[in-house]
Amino acid sequence: MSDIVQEALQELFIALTTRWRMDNGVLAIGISKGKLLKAGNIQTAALDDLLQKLRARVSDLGLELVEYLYAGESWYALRSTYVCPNELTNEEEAVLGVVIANIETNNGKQVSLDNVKKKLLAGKYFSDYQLDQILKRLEQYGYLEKKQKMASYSPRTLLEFSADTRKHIAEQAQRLVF
Amino acid sequence: MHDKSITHTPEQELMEMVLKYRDALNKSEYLPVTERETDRQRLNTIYVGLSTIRQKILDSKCYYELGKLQKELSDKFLAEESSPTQRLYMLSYLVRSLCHPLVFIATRSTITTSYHAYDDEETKPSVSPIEAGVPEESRRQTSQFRSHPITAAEIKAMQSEVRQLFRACHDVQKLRLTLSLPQAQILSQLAASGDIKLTVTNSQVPRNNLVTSVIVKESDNNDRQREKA
Repeated sequence: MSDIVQEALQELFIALTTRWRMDNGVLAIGISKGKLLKAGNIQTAALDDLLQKLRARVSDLGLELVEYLYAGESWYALRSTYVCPNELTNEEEAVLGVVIANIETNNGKQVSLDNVKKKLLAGKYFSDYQLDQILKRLEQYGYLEKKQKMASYSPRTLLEFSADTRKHIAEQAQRLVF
Repeated sequence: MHDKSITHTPEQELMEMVLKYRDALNKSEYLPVTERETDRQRLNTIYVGLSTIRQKILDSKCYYELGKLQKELSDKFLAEESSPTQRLYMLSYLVRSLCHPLVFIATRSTITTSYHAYDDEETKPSVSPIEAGVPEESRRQTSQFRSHPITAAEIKAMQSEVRQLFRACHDVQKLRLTLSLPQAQILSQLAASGDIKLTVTNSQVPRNNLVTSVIVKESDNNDRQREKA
């Protein structure tokens, strides 16, 4: 492999794993195709070729290249093929589980955050302030998308948890949190 | 309960039971065991006389609602043995054990950042043939999601914050409990560059069992020999 390709792959890896923030402070999940094309000043065919090479290289490290559509554009990110530690705290993981349960029960559609809060506050799991902070962090980490008082999945949740996994989490959350 | 003074058809009786258990489940009202057992026995008696498909479907629905209530009751009974905090941790463990995380690293990017500013039409990237199929409205929507890289100043601020935390507590085991993931990455980078020195003895951290995401920079043999001398 030539040095130029090697260097391009290195830059691509950095671009895919770097933390970026959107204008609203929410973590961007990977990088969009448009930005990659512009940054590398390359054509789509060349980018596809590089991504193909990167995909083959990172698979040995237990990583996989994922492509998803968001707001009408292709985005790329790197995901672990194995279960490994994530950046959420225990409380954040539990609240995410409860939100997943609510959304799955509602057939994947957005749910009212008031219902989630009602359940967790009535069960004395968290205080109102704690819960607000946790939900805010989940939004900033790119797990949830909040619109007024409604919450729906952000791409990160869909990428990190498969449909079957989300269903399983929903079943268990209903059993454990009441 | 089955009222024997009024004559019911099996269908009416089954429908009443379905609604009764559905309501009870919605209101989280768990009916007494004796009442549920009487209804279950009644269902058994009614079943012998069922002839039409509609009656059999109602019978199945009735058993389903009864089973659901019973299951929820058992789950709640078992879960009450544990505290709300323990149950939250159980859920948290489940979420963690099923997560395939995306990979992010808290560091400065080395790629060019000029493409972040799409303030005027001329600087916008040209549309690739594949993206040409995407409606203009969606493309405009995408351009709202401009991203900002972490700046050098932010990294410096994070580094000084981590240094302060490290000065306050040198115990890696305690420190790792208080650090967020980006902070742990910064600490790891500081240790790797030799800026700070983390030492952990073998008795504290088994080498074959990784217990922290912080890279531990160990003193080399020469240092140890010098210390002994």
